Amino acid sequence: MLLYVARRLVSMVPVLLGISFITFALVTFAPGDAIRIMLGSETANVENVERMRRELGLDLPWYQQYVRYMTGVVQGNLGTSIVSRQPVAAQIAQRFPNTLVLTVSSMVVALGIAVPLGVLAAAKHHRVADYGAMTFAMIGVAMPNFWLGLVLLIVFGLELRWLPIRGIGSLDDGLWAYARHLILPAATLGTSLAALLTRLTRNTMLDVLGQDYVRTARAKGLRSGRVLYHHALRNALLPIVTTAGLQFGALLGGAIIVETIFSLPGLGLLSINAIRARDLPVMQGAVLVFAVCFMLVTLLTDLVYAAINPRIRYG
Amino acid sequence: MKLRAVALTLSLLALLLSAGSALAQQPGGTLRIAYTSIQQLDPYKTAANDEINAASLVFDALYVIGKDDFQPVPHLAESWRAIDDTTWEFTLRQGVTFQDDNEVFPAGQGREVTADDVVYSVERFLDVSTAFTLGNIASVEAVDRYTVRITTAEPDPFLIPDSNRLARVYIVPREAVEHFGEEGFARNPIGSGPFKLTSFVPDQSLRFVRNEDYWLPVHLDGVEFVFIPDPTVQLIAVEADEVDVITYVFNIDSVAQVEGTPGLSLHPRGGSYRGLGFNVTTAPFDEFEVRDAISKAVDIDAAVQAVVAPFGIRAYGQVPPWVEFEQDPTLEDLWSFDPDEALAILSEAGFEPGPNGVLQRDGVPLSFTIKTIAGSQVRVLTILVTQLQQLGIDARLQQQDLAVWAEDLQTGNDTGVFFNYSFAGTTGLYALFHSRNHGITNTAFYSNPEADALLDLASRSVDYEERNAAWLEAQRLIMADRAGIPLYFEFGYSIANDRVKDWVVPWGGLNLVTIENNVHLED
Amino acid sequence: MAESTLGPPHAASDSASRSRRSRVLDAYLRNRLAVVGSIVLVVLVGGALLAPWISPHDPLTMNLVNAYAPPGSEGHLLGTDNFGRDILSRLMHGARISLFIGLVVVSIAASIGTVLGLLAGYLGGWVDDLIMRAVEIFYAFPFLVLAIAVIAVFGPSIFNVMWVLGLVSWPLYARLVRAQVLALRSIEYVEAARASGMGALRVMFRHVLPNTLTPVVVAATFGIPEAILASAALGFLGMGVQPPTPEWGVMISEGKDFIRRAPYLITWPGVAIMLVVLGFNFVGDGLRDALDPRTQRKE
Repeated sequence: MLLYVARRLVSMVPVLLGISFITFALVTFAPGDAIRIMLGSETANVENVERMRRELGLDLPWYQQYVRYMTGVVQGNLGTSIVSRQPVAAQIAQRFPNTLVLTVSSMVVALGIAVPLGVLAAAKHHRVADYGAMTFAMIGVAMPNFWLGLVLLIVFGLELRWLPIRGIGSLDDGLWAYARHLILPAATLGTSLAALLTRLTRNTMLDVLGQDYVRTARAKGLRSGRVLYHHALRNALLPIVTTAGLQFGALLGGAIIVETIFSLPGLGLLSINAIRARDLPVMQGAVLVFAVCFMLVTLLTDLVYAAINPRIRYG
Repeated sequence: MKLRAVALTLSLLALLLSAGSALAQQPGGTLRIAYTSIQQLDPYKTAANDEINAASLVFDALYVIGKDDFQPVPHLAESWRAIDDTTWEFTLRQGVTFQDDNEVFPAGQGREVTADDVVYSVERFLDVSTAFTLGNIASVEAVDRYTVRITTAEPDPFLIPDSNRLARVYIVPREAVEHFGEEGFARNPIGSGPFKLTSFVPDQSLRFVRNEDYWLPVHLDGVEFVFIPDPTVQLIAVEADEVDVITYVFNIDSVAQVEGTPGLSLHPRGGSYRGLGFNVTTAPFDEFEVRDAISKAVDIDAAVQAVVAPFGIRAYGQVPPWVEFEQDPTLEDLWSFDPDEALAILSEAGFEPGPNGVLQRDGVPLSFTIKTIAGSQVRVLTILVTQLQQLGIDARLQQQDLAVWAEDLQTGNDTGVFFNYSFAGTTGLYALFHSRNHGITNTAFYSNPEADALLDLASRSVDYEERNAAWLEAQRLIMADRAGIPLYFEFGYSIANDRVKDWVVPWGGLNLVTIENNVHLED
Repeated sequence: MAESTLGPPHAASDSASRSRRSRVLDAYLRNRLAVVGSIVLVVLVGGALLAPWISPHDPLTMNLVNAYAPPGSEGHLLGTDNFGRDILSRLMHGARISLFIGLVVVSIAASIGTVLGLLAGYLGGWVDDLIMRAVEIFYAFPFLVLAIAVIAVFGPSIFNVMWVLGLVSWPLYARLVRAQVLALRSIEYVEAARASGMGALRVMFRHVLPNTLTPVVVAATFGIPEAILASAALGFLGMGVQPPTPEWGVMISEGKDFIRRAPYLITWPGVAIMLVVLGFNFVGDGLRDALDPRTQRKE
């Protein structure tokens, strides 16, 4: 088991190398650089900006820059932002919790919608409730994130004034005050995932309900609600949880737009601003953290899968 | 000189008045300001409005740009005078101290700001400022504890009135910069300004509290900057009363929506020049006729009317109404909307409709992509592009990231036409069209020795009449040459809710507490 | 996503395949949502295809004096935008663009993914390792960040949007096809074909490829709306199709500045996106259920 985990962790290295190289290449060969942006300002001090370019080593050939950067990364140094001249690691550490809280609460929303709807749809297979549940779930995915976010913002933030329009509060104001800020962003991001999970719950439940022991239980006269929850849902949870875990990556991606609309200073916003400003170290750092998260969640999901399902053994 | 004396009298008067009003009113309130991004607080190292606004609370500059006429108004310097054509002497206010109760100055031990601090700050500015250029400074020296002399290498009439030069030199204490280091100082700014930094997490939270020892009474209890990256959401936030102020409205359409909203007010001040630029060294825009025809093919008035008015006006030249130069009424005659004439000129130049309806010459279609960054111009240009297409000119629009746009233009812009703007005001004409700035800000690669000479003359002349005449003459030459097509001046606006009193739209930093105004909240 | 529903191979005789076809059709038609989805799609595709002839106005023609006409105004069923352009006409022409983008993106992704998946699954060894590493890289890369970065390099245009989205979404297909191939490799007739000395390529394309098509088609049905949503998101961020092209995401992006004054500027394109995505999802669900023998057994 430990060996398996270790092997998986080692196999992340080439993937991370690949990702860092792609990121590096994209930003390096993209037209425009951070220094150009500074020079583009009418008032820029050309001499001092050019000196800064040399000091940061941005005048070196790209492969030297890459080696310099990776040497730093190996030593645990993610470098310094070109734009703000502040350490990248500190910026990421500051923003990471925001994205994490957003994705986790979105997952909660998604599962909160998906599991009841999916069970309902399976129980009423091919009946009105089934269609209704599935349609409802799918509307969630069909509404573009950015559109739904804006609409929720206008309706609940501005017209009704029930909820704050910014996705971030302070824990100093108490847990509820903090959570209130998360409702709209988590709803926006969570509904986009709910359709997939509802469909999955429904199909898994249908599979389970078709299996012999459930039929037996039913035949024995157990009430169908009990069968549904005690026997079927329990067995269906495993694939639901694993698939949900695998969707964290999609959530991280969707976080970019939700973070923009709800003013949530997370990794998504950080990376998109870094691309726009051609702030290579920041973008590298953000993307690498994204990737590590994604792979760790995947690994964790696999382990959970193994733990719940005794038939699977990793050697 | 006379102006300065008036300013001084006025400043004394204002001081008395503000002291009086401080007694009369209940000061207080925390002002909430929306911002897009604030990563660091060193005012020398950023051209971003948000960062400059935030930093400016902590620091004082020698003077501020006055709220009504853009003339310098005394601040940390009580007065100044020209000793000769190249030497300025500033007299500092006495008894002003740097903020205390921090790592550098323990509580009760804020050191007095002296001439040495000004010397240090100017020198540091010359050394590390990436965002601004002070110019050719020969020397800066402390004559005595409260007197500083700045000598320029040649006469430099713009040093003081240009809001992007000496006005940007905030006075910083050497001890703090040395204690924290360059990067650390950007997170722990200490100055003599009206507000002290209390907490700063980049793009997340940023709070300031009143400096009780400030040399003017400070009405506000504190200032909070609220992170809202999306301009549309900023507007929703001010309507939902989650912030009090949007310092600078990015999108002119927002202004139109606020106009009728009860409880919100628009505060206009200054603005920006927006136009079309040609790279005059690329075919076919190296031909005057082609540039001229395009200027006649588009109905600029209609586009400006539809998109910008009344929050902007049609521009016939580059010199905006809010700088010291006069407006040249004769420029209007240089421009006309006449599509038939445009087609005739193009036909004369050899362009005829091709099989697909697109004008072409020797099999080469008249086809180009106008590169722009986001802003109201996207809508204006969308209209112009549509008009050009209807005439058989294959014009397209491409919105780019600032990075790409800047690089594209600086390296020659392969398609030859681009959106061009200037926020700097006073010296915009020089930046955009002087041949010295080729490939930096003169991305038209326009080069006209006569215009260069006029701009140089104006940049060194201490005589306003001469300066004005030369500047306007240069503008006329450049416009007649069609180095670009001026489109409009967009006015700058703050949006504030009506509880905010005495608000002044920022012009190179927030002016919350000056001898002219003192911002506070009132119910 | 569609991984859980891989059916067994179906290399059967003609009559059996015919009866299977009618069974599939039956199952599909029994799914009401799938039928509704098909109708929605037919209407949308019809509107898109016929847009140049049936749209009431030109989508680009501005009428500045008639800007912000509310829905239901004379001649403008859905109103006009800030330039006085007819929103219905823009939506119809926008449908062409969105559907086109969806189809092209999925074609690119499915082609790359299928070929690489076949190679990985069939050849195994280092080829498999290499391809699966690439798949992992693309999975671990936040997809929108990658797309935005690539657009930043090559510039925003409809062409770039299509290949970028195709490029970032192939790994799903590669995984599906690989899994299918692995399942097939040991199946007798493939073994037999190999034993009889058929070349690897021929075996792959003659016997393996056809059997991987079902999951790919199902995945593609879900891939189209995803591509439409993604291109709209890019358009919304100003990094996709450029104005004045009436792409739906661009319409929302342009309209959001007027959200208070004329909320319908973003409502209609939002609804349009919603309908098309719903349509494809319903059809996809129907297809999958109908093609999945397990579901059929249950009924």
